[in-house]
Amino acid sequence: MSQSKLKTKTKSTQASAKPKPAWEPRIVSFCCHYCSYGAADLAGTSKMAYPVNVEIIRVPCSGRVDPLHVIEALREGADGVMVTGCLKEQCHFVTGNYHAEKRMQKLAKDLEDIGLGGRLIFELMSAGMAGKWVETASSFYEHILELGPNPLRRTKPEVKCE
Amino acid sequence: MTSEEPRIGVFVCKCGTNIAKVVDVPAVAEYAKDLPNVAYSGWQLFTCSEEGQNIIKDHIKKHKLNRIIVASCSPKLHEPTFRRTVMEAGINPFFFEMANIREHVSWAHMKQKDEYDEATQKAKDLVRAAVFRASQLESIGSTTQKVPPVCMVIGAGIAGITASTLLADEGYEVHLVERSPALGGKAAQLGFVFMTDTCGVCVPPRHGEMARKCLSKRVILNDPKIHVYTQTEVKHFGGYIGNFQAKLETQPRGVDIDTCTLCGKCIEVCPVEVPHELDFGFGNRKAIYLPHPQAVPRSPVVDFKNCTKCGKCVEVCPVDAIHLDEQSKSTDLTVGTAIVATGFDVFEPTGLYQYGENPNVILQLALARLMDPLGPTDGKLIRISDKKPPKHVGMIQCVGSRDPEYYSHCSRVCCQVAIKHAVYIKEHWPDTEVTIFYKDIRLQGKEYERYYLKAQKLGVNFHRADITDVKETPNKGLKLAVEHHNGDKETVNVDLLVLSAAMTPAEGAKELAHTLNMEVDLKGFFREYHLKLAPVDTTTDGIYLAGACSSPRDIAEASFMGAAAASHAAIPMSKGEVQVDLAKSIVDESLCIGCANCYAVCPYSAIYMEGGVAKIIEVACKGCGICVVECPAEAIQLRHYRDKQIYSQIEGLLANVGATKK
Repeated sequence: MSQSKLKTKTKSTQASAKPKPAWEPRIVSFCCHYCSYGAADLAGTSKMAYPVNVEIIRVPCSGRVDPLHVIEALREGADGVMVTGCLKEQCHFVTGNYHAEKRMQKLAKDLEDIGLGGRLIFELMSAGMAGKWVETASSFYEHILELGPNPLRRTKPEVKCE
Repeated sequence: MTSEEPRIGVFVCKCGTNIAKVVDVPAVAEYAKDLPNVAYSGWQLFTCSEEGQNIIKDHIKKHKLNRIIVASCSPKLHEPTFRRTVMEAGINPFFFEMANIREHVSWAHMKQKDEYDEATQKAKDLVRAAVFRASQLESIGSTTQKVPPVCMVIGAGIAGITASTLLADEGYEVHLVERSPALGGKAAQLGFVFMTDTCGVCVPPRHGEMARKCLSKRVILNDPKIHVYTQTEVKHFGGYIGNFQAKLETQPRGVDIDTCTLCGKCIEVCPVEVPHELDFGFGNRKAIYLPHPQAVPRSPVVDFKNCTKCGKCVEVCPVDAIHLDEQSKSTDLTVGTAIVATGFDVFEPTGLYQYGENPNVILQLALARLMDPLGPTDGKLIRISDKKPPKHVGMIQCVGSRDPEYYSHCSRVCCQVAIKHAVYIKEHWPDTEVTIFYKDIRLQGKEYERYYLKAQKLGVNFHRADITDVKETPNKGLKLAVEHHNGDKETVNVDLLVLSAAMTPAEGAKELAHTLNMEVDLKGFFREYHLKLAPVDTTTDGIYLAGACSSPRDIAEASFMGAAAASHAAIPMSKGEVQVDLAKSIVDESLCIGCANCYAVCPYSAIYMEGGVAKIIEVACKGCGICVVECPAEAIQLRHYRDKQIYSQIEGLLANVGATKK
C-alpha cells in the first residue's frame, strides 16, 4: 500500500470513528512533577493519545495546588480542571497528596454549591501509570463535553491574546 | 525579584522530526514574537545540542535577554541542561522556563494527524503560558550547609557493617546502632552461608589486608572510629543533611562487655529457662544467655523480661561484670548523614502447608540452626517430633513469595538457601533424599550456577511442581499431593518439610520510617530515590539505604549496597558542605499571624515557631508547597512556584479563551 493511500485510510477511519464534537472544551490539569507529570510524559513517550485540549501546568506537588488556583482556572474560562498527584503512600513529599485530596474534595463540594459542579476531578497515579493518565484525561474530557461550556466563560469579557 | 524589565527569549525546538512532524514549529516561533515581553523568538533543529545551546547564548548577548524559554521536550529530561546553559551566559538558572511540546504535544497527539492544527495550537498555548509565567520569575540563590564527618548507621547486619567499616576506613566517625544484642544481623545466625560455605560473621577485609576478618575478633568493637550501640533504637530523629539530631534509647544489657570474660558461669547457674527465640521451639536458653554462639559483643545478655533477679549470676561472676540494676539510657547524637540498613524479617506462613500444626514443618532458618554445628542439636539433622534423622527432606519454594495473596515479589535468596541446605545434607548424610519443589529456579550471580550443578550431581531432586495438599501421616510425616507443571500428579511422602518463606520488611520498619520521615512502599520496604539510577539514595538528602530494607537482597548484594551507601554518604561529608538552592518556602513575617498551621503540615519538620512567627529552615525545606496552601494569611510563598507565578501561567494558558472564542 502506498504512503498516500495509507494516510487517507488512517484519516478516514479516524474521522468515521470520532465525529467532530459540537464544541471544544478547554481542560487544565495540575500535575505534580514527580508522578502525574511523569505519567503524562510516559503517555507521550509511548505515543498514547488523549484529547489534545487537556493542557498541563506543572507544580512540585499536588499539595501545592491551592483551591484558589482551581477557581482561577475556572474564572479564566477552563471548562474543567484536573488535579493529579502521586499514589497514596508514594508521594514524593510524603503527605502532599493527602492534603491535596482533602482540599479538593472540599472544593468539589463548594463548586457544586455555586453551579460549577463536576468541573473538578482529583486523581492519583504513579509516574509509570501512563494508561491511567490517558484514561483519566479522556473520560474527563467526555464528561465535560457532555456537561457543556463553563458558564463563567460568558463573564470573561474578551480574549487577552489570540 | 529584580526590577529590570523582562526580556524574554523563546527557543522552539524541532527535535529533528520528533516535534516538527506534528507541530508547525516555525509557526509557533512566529506566534511567540507577539506575546508580551518577548524580545526574541526563533526555532532550531536540536536545541539541546552543543550548537543549539551556543545559539541560545549568542541570542542572550545579542538581544540582552534575561528570561529564557525553551519549548522542546519534558523538563524532566533537559531542564538541568538548559539551566546550565543560561547560567553559563550569566543568567540565574531560575529565569529559565520550559514548555513541553514533545511528550505533551507532538508525541501524544501524533496519531491524530488531522489534528495537526490542534497540536500546533496546543504548542502555542503552552508557549504562551510559559511566557506569562516567565515574566513573573525571580532570581534564586543558594546557600551552603556544613556537613560534619559523622554518619549514623542503623542496623548492624552485613550491609550496615560493610558501610560502617568502609566509612571508618575513610576516616569518618560512625555511630552503628543495632536493635538486637548482637551484631551481624540474620547472616550471623546462620551456621554457614551460600556460595562460600563460610560462616556468616565474616566482615570484609580492612586496611588493605587480604584476609577476611571474623566479627568475633572484635574488629568493629575495637575500632576507635566506630561507636557501637547494641539493644538500641532510634526514638526521635529530626533535622536535615549536615545537622541530623537523633535520640537513641539503649536497653540495659546487665553485663559489662568490657570486663566480661565469657567464662559462662552465670549461664550455668541461672535457674530460669525459656524457649530460645532463634531455635524455633527446639531449644531453650537461660534468662542470662549468649544471643547466639558467635554473638558479638562476646558477652552474655540479661533478658530482663524473664529474669527473676535472684542474684545467683552476680555471685558467681569472677569479674563483677553483672549489674542487674542497670537502667536504660538515652544518647543524643548530631550526625551529618545517616544510612538505613535495617534488613528484613521472614514471613510466618502459619496455616500454610501445616506450618505451626505439625512440628516437622519448619522454615529454612530453623533448618540452618539445626545443621549448625554450634546449634541446639550440635549439628545433627533430626526431626523435632521423634529426634530421629529424616530419610526424606522436602522443600517448598516461594512460600508467600510471588504470591499475590501475600508478597508479589521474588524473595531473591530462597533458591540459594534451599540449594545450599540440600547440598549440605547430601554431603553430610548422603543417604537422605532431598526434593525441592519449585516454580522457577532463579540463580543469578557469580558462581551461583556451579553450586546448582553441584546439587544436581549430588542427586538432589528438583521438581517443578505445585503442592496442592499436605496431609499428616501416622508417624508425623507428611504426604504431599504434587501437581507437576507438565500436568502429572503424584503423592510424595517426606519426613521433614522445609518451607522457603518470603523475605518481608523488618518488624517495625514502618515505625522507623515514620520516625525518620521516610517513605516506604505499600509492603513496607523503604523507598529508594530511583529504582535504577539512585538505588541507595532517598528523597531525603543525607539519608541512604543499604541492604534488604528496600527490597529482598542476598549477602553479596547487601555488601555491594553497603559499600555504595558508604560512598554516597561520603560525598557530602568529604566536601564538608552541600550547596542547597533556595527554591524553598519563605515567610513574610509581617503577615504571619503565628497560627502554626504550616508547622503542623510540614512533612520535613522544616518549620519552627519563634517569637510568634513561623521560620523556615531552608536546608530542610524540600519545596513541596504544602504549607503555602495551608497559610490563612498568605504569609508563606514558595519561591519559583509563588501564587502569582502559577496565576500568570493559568492566565497565559487560557488567554485565548473568551466569550466569543473557543
